[in-house]
Amino acid sequence: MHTLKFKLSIIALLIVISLIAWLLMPINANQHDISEDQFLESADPIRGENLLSVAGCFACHTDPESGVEEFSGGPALDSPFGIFYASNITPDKETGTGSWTLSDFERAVRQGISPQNYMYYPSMPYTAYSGLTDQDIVDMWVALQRIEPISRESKQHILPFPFNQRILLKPWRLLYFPTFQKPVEDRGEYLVKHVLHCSECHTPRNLLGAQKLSKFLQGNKDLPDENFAPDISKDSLHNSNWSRDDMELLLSIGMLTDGDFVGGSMTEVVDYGTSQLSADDLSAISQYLMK
Amino acid sequence: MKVFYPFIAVTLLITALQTKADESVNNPIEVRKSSMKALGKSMKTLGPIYTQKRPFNADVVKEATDRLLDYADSMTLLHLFPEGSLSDDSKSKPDIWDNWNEFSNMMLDFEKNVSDFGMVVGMGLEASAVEFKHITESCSDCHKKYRTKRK
Repeated sequence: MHTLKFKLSIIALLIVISLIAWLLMPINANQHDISEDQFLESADPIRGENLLSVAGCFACHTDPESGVEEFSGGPALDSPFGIFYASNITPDKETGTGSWTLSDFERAVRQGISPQNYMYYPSMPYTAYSGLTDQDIVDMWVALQRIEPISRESKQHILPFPFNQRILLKPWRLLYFPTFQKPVEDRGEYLVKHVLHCSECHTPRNLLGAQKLSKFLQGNKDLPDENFAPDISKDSLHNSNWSRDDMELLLSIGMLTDGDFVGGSMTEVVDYGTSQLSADDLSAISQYLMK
Repeated sequence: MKVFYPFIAVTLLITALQTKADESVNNPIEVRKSSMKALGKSMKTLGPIYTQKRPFNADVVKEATDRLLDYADSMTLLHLFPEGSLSDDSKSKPDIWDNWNEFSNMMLDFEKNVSDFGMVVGMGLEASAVEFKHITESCSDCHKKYRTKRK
């Protein structure tokens, strides 16, 4: 006759084995039905080129300081978890995205899963990109095909234990990455949340690096390189007497309300991103942020 | 007596210039902050006009441009950044003095961009829009690398 203690030990052991098995099981990407033929017919590479810039792909995957070619790998992103490097996404077959399919690209961008089936670290903002429309994904994809392929090995992230263990991303994703995102109707909201991914910098994060969504856009004092992102929530903007024109001026040329200019990483956001937006999109953003 | 008044005027002018020069030597941080504020004041006027949020008014644009031209002198501005001039309320980064040549070139570019703008601004908004954009890029480029973010 087994004792109660023995039975509990067996149950605990089974739980631990199940947990380890779950962690080690390959991640399953959702099968998304972007039909390659259907969408590539309507793909707009010029629009896609603009999106690659506005959505931050250019800024993260290019390192102008090192003089290497565009999209062939980004500068170091120093974070509390270690140093991340954005990879070479030029269509080079060996070192870039040249052997990818549209489905691979969709999985990488919206689901954070590589063609080799490993999970990306959320330094790549797939939690925001997961809300991108099929059309935007296709346009970005065809634009990416037109970039000159550059053979350059991507730098490996420099992460201490335990953050270098990708299997730990599985429970992280379970906690913080919803598998279903409700489609966003409002253009301004769509741009802020999914294309420009403003909350990646402007929302404070918890100890596990996930955004505190209860403090959406309320500022983050702990950005890399002693940077900080101010509170751009509606209440804060109203309290600071910002107008929609002020916001659009900031996004189009980087100027603040007193004639000063933004510094730090926001300069890149304006240069490569928001300054490339149409007047209608700038208006939609300011309306969403300040309505 | 007639000779005396000009003498007094010249003396006062020299004293004022000397005081100004002393101030920039003794308190470069404060002087550069006020210079940047003056530049910002012009940009605050010009920015909404060049993004078509405000109508183009030639007199207003000229006044703001004249102020820009007055303050965008690279030699004077660089003089306001003596090595190590940092303080708690200064947003300058120490990298300025590690990369002094690059910083100096940025100031020269800024001066040139303002000067180019000054030459075409009288031709109207469309004719000077590109030159205005170059000024904003100068401001952003320098702030990105050599100034901490505002709190």
